[in-house]
Amino acid sequence: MPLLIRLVLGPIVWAAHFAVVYGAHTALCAIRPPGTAEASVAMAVGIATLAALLTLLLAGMTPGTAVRFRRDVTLLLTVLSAIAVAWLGITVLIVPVCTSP
Amino acid sequence: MNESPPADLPNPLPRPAREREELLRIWATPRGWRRLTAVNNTVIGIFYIGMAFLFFILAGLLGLLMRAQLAAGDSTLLSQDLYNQLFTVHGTTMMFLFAVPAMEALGVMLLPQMLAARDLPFPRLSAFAIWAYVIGGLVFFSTIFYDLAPRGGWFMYPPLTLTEFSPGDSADFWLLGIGFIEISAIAGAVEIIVGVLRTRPPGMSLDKMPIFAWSMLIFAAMIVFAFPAVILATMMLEIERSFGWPFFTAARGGDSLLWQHLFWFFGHPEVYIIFLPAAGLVSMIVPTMARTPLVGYRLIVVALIATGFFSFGLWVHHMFTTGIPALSLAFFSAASMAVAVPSGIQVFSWIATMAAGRGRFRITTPSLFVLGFLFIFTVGGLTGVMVAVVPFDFQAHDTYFVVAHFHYVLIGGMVFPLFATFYYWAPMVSRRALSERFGRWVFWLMFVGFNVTFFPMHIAGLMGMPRRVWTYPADIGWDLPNLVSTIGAFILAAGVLLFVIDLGLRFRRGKGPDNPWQAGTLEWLPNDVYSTRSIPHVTSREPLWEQPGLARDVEQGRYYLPNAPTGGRETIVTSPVDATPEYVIRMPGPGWAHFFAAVFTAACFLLLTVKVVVPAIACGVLAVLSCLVWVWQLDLGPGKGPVPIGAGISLPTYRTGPTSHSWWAMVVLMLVAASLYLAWMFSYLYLWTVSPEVWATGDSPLLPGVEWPVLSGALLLAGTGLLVVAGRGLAWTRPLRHVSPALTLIASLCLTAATIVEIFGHWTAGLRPADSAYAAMVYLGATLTGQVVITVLIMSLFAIARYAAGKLDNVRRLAFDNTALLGWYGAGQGLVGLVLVHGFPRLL
Repeated sequence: MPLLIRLVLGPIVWAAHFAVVYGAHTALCAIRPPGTAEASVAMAVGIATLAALLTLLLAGMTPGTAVRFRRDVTLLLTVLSAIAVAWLGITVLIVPVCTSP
Repeated sequence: MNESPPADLPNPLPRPAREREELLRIWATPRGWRRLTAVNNTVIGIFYIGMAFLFFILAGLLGLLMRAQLAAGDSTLLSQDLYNQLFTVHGTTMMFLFAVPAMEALGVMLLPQMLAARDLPFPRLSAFAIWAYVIGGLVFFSTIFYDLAPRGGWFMYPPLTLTEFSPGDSADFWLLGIGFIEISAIAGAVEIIVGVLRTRPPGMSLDKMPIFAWSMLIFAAMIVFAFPAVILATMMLEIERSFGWPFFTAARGGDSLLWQHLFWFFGHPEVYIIFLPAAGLVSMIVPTMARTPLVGYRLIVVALIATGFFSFGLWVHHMFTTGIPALSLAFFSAASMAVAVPSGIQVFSWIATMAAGRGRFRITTPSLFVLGFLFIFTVGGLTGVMVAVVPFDFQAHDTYFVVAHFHYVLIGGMVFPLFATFYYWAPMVSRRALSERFGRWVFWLMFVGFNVTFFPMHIAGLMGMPRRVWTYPADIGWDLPNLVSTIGAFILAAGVLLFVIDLGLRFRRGKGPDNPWQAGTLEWLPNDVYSTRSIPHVTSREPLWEQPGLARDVEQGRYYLPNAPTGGRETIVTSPVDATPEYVIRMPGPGWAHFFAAVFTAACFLLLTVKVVVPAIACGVLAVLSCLVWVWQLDLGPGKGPVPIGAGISLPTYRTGPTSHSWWAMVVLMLVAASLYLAWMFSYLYLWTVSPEVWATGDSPLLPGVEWPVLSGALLLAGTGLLVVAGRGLAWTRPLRHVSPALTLIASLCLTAATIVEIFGHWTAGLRPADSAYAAMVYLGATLTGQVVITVLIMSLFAIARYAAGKLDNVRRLAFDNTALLGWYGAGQGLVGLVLVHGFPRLL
């Protein structure tokens, strides 16, 4: 079972990042008075994204197996997850933080 | 694991004379009315697919009725109320009674054949799931005939579905009737996960697994994490309707958007739950028709896994217009685009395989349906990227554009591959293949009919026609696209009708021609009721192409387990990654207990729907008793000793602990319970962000004193510790060993007491569940843990009975091990709940 979990470590990091970013954003916008939440949301999303990308980089550099199939799948999943994490994190630079459209 | 086949085949010729007769006798399908007890995957698999297809036709007929009503403006063919029932039952039936069951059915039928296993590891569990689904599904569908059908749309949004706005029992038929069919889906998922990971043939390491097995593995894992969210939502809405706990009522701190979050946390992955197995089927058919291995096998595996994960980050894209902050929408928009990448990988892989083939890609009926799928699904995917763009979605939301989009994705992505599957795999289970000549007509009628029906809906939607309207004014320009759609729907229906005729003319149960498509995978080995005569050693992804003589050698019994050394049903269990043989699993055969368990479970839920409470509870008790009778016949112990399977390998016939299939199934079940609990934790925190004013705070009189959670936590820890001691105690010598079952019981009583203490603490603090959303969430959390610990209590009583009957000892101990596993899980869940419910408000 640990082997199977190692295989999907990349997407697990993506899921954790998604949960943290979405949770932190929703909670901070809900509890902080308007005008004060934006900076903390941006910071939380930024830190979470950097941490996730760093984890993925480390995971990608140490695939944990020499078996070609498992190594390749692990690596490709890590790359896809990194793209998805970056894609998600970058939104905080573009979109207004706590206002509804 | 060695990569090459053994130099000498595992078993010598000639085989003993009566070996095949013995297999035929052991695996024989019961006859007459005893057929109801059958569990063999090919028998119940066909029945399962047949039922799913029946629901497809029934729901399709409802679709035709709707199209007839919408053919012209100001039509009065159907009443508005009936129309509301029609679209609700159409959507619900298509999603819950057709699409998911059809895919599970294909898993049940095809997986053991593709993996050359004699059956899936828990045959009665599959049969239970099927019977529960058949009974529940038929009763649910029949409500449309009695004006009792739900009217809230397939997603049943509150507040429309709360008692005030949907009085009567109709909404409850959805909540209880469909809710328990989810249980059936989860039972099937447990079976499929353990089956794919543990019953592969020796040598079939993960990199040699057929893509369909990969896709079913991801499919089942997604069910484990997605379905609990909708089960929780269903529970909450039913509890609110019945007892007034205000989860969704804004006036008391609830929020109807919570339903949408939970529903779509299930509902979006659901789309991929349906699509991934279909993609897996396509990945099996394309290489056969191109006569070349799949291009980019590893990329497809990556795409399946990535889709499985990313699809959980999309749910809010169904909620773009609900007023959620723009940045959140952007997160989900980004994930919606990210998921398009792995889907694109698969499409390019299929096209590359077609191009790479030796000679021309064979154009058969299955290939036509695959090509149709590629076209339609790609169009649906493109409109999907359009609606993933927030500003465009604001325009298209709740219009016929969305109706067009999801029919392109679902019919293109699931129904067309399913028809390809029918034509491709029919010779595996029918004496005659389906007609290629009819097949082409079926395809073209369906393909043309589909596009004529659904393409104009894009236009109607862009013209502003909203979804779910029962009629529209005749003079605003919507008549033409609607009339075209209706004509198309009847062309599509004609295609399906022709298929049914073909099926009636040619489909006959039995053995068909061997490998008519010259495919490379194991389901085309010669087989009978016992599956394959012997279980092959696999050294490649397409064994029938790469290992010459395999079919003959397997059929002659020269590979593993050509006989039945334990005298009963059995198959080989292999390790999950490398598929090294580990032990021989002894499987149950036909029986009544699982059948009655399904009947009574269905009866219990359906009687609750119409509020006949006492008979419902009686049926619930009978269902539990049936389950106990069923499991009493399992856990056969190591009595048969190690048995030879060939090549000098002798395997044990019994296994406990983390390598046993029982342990794996239990872990999957715990993941289901954990997903349910996580959904509850999300709901608790979510409602707090919506209504902090109804929440207890640190100095609130509504929060019990610290002594209550401390006592509850201590009881949980005590139960955990006692289970550890009880487990060790099974190894003690008599009479000291008798302490072990007593400790098991005390442990489960501790866990039960912990839950009672938790509930009682809140009650004495003056909190009542109907007071506020906060109170409702607190009591719901305790209820969820209560469910687990009551199950542990029943299981520990069962373990004691086994001990008393001499069927439980230090070696033969599955009944205890499973009780302990669930007990530890329940204690862990309880402790997490205590920290959240008592700790979080003290931080406020």
